[in-house]
Amino acid sequence: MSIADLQNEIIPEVNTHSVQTDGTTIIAVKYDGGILLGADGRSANNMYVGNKVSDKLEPIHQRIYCQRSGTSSHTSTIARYVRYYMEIQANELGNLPPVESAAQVMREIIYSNKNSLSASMICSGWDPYKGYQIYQVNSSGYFEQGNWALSGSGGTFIWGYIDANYRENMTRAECKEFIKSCIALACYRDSSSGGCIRLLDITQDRVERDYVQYDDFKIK
Amino acid sequence: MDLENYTNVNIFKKVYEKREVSSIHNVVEQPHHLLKDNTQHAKGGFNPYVNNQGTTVAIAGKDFVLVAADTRISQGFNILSRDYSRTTKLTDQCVITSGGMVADIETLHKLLIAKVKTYQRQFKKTPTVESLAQLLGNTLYGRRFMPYYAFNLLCGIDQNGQGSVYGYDAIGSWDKLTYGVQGSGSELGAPILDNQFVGHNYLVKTLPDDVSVVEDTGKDIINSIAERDIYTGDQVEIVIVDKNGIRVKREPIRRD
Repeated sequence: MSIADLQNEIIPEVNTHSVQTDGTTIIAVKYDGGILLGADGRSANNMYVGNKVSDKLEPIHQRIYCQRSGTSSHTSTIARYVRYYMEIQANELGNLPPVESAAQVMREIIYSNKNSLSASMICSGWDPYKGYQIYQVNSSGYFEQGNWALSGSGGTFIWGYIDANYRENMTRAECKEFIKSCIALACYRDSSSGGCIRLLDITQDRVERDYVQYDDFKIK
Repeated sequence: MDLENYTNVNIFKKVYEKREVSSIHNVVEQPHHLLKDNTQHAKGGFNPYVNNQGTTVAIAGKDFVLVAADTRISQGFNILSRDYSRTTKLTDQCVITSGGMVADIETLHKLLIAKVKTYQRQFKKTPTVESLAQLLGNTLYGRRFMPYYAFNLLCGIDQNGQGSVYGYDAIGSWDKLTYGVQGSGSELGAPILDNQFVGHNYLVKTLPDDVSVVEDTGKDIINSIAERDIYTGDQVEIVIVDKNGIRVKREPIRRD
């Protein structure tokens, strides 16, 4: 019996019914002078809501954040690896690392392991070289820059809403309301999104968090 | 010559395998939330079943029976309706409430209403809850090999004026209960009901028996399930059956 056979025998089949996934709505939008990130708070094992207030906004570096959708364990591990590489690059540069680097590393990890990963992430933030950037890294290992990015199961329900209502150079307040309504609408239609809304505002000078509880969701 | 192929048993076996009856076995014997969605069509096999989820709870009291059910129906992650009533009146003293596939639930409820009418014509009286319980068991088992994908609770006032609940599986196995829960939230609801109505895991037992207290408890149970089950939500529908008849009321709950 070869080692490969042995491994096949030892490695158990993964029970996909009990894997925690961020059946998520995540959204990142550029506004006039910053980037706003939004995510819902539901993490579910199949049909059971394991966490109602989970945090899908994860820091990569001082001005770079990522948003996770897919299998929680996969995405949080990827984020940890990206964080590690960005720390090294920041030390080498002696300056803030480029957002593009973080997105590229994230893309590379997902691309080279795409057969065993379920991960779709958004990487966004500010750097001194190219300013504010949003990169969407999809589960096939392809990334794309844009003025806004949308991912997760709830995203499918609000594409049209965003196409109709997104404007360039919104103010921060406008953008915040826009993201709140986007996620509230997605939570309303998608049964694997819900719980609460977490918001994160990235600007050149600071990073600020915000939270909306379920009772304050506005559908109309 | 291979004689085995010419025996009746084997001919039957082949037909049996070709019709893929095994998929129906899966439906009955697997926990219903593990049933795969209706994606088999393109490959040639057709899976006629889909689970539209939803939760229903029934509690029997001394002289009443109370049903608390949510009103959401889903298909996958989509919500098809937010105000669907999964409880149907059969007689003045009896209702049926179900979880599972809505198409089958509606068909079954309509069939039972028709059977009640036939009974009334034939015997010049309304069927008792006990009779309906047996009738439902027979109806479900009559479809043993193509079951109604419905998980039922039959609730009513019996001949002695006491509340009673009958619980069923999809192929007609049934039992008289004091309370029951069916549907996607059944695993989440069962221990709460055990705690509230038998006193399991209680240090000081104070069991609710008043209608209004049981009603509040029923509402709370559906509301609690809605917090943790992604397929339960939108509204809670309360149906109370007592000697005065049937009352229905609704209250909004989480819609996410």
